[in-house]
Amino acid sequence: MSFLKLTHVNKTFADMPAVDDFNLSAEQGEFVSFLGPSGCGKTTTLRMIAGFELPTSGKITIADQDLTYVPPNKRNVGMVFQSYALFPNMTIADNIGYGLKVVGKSKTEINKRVDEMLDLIHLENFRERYPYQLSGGQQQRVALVRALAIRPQILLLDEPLSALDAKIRVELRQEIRRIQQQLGITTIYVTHDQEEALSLSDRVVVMSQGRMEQVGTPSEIYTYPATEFVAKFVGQINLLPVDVINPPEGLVKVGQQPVRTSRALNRADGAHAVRLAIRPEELNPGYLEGANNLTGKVDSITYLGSIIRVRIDVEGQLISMDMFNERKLKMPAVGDIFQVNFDADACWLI
Amino acid sequence: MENSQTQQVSRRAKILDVLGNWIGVIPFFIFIIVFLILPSMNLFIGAFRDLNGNFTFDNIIGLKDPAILKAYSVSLQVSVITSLVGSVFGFFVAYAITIGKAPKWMRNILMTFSGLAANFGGVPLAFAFIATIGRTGLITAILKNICFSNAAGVQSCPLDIYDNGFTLYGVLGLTLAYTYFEFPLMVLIITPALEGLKRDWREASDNLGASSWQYWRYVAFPVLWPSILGAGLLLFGSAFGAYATAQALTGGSIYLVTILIGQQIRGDVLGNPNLGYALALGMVVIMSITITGYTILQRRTARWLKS
Repeated sequence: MSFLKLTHVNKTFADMPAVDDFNLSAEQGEFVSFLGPSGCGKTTTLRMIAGFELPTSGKITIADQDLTYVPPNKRNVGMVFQSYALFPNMTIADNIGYGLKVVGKSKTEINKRVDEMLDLIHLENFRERYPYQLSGGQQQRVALVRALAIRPQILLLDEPLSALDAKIRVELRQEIRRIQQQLGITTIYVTHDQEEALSLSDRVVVMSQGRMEQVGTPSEIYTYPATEFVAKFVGQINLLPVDVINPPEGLVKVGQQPVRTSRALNRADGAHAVRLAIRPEELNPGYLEGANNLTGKVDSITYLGSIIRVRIDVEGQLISMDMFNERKLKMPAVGDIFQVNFDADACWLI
Repeated sequence: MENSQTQQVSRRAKILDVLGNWIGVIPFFIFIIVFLILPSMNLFIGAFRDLNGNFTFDNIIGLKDPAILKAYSVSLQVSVITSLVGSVFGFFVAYAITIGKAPKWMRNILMTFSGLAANFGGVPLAFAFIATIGRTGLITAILKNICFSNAAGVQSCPLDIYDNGFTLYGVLGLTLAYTYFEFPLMVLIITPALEGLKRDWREASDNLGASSWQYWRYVAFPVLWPSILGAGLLLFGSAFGAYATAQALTGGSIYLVTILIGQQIRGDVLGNPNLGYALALGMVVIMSITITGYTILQRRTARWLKS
């Protein structure tokens, strides 16, 4: 039985659809990310779950309770904002205890919960400080436990790490996942950062223009993108226009060079412009008997730290190949003739 | 040799740099010295001198005169009431055009009006009030002519404001006139503060289960409090120091400290400029006490502000 359920949820702003027929079922304790570019409707959907926006149509239930039109302060849903939204006039302890104070909990109970929460984020010594005395990462930790202090049914996080620097982002996302698993709370996480979504989530909902493009585990989303949008948005991808030679055998040509895919094309696929999709990390340098091989000229080499991206011009098409940056790696030079190979299983046609 | 030349050039550049930084504010300092510090010193010294220039406490002792104490009392009364009414009224107007759902065009109109009205004081304001709600003012005349007949055919005109005890030329009228420029001042000052309330704070509060009242009680008002306090002080100060409006409206018939000072300095019958200086010194002391109170309150309520 689903814990959080969104059924045919739509939202329009001035006749412009922001969310279009959104359907989702999340289990108790599941971590689901909404991933997509700006304006794709992910935050609007989250805000509808929180009650800050009302759906134009559709239904939102939590634990079988219809909350579609319940006001935000009656939903018992915790939310973490991108801007932290800590109350500047309150100490850290008062911020964390605010949700308990407004529902009339005793001081003893509030203090106990505040201590528990501070312990959870290892900020026990910051009790009496004001938000401005904390770093961005610390403030967001406090915002997280403030949302958790009311023991919400669901935790919503709206791009909580966007305002932080890269190193803190990685640290904090691990902490978010640890706390979420420790408390077993159903969590919806909005992000435009694919790395965040893939590393944190049990399932990812990829959204574009208000619609759900694909729902799946991080591995499904990355390895088997259902649409061109997902393939392009999640990770790096080479999309090469090809000529179909033999649809049942999945045989196509990149320029004049044959490539075999593991999946047969049906006739209808062959009638459309078809493109070969392959991730840069699936390409290997050199010629390999029995694999797909492409020959081209090295166009550019980009140093990206742990990986090196080589772009190869194959009969006018640029293909990217990622290689681990090892000391023993022999790098080609720009302008060299270069061969790459890949498995038939590694590529697919879109 | 080359080294000392380089040092000289660097020193010259430093001096020019410092001079460049200060040159813009020099006229300001000259202005402040000539028109604030020197007159204040003159005022202070004058308060302790008699007409012959001898040192005396008579002017300060003279402040205990019942008429003068009454003038301070009326001035304080008018200033406190108008700053409170202006603050409350201005706050709600500012709320309506920022957080409220008032249309944008209304906001533009109100902000323009506030900018204008906040600076519309003195004789023109007094004249505007006399022309509208003075004894023969336009609104007074219109209201006066709205009459009703009862079943017995007896006519009554209940909207004649002057028949109902109102007069523009007293404390109430003065309060009304002052409120006219006080509340727009509040709108101008508090609007940016209200705009500074983040939508996320409201949503976080709602999300944590708080009602609208709890949000205002625990978050919004404490955040706005330093601004409200500062604006209230400014309103109090502007009413306390106003002279021309009161003089033009009441012809000096009402006892305000500023009017008394004017009478002393203008050299009317029994005019004593040194008593005028003492009266002004009294005003400075009252304002200083108010500002000290404000500072203490602000420190207590705004510990959370970055220092």
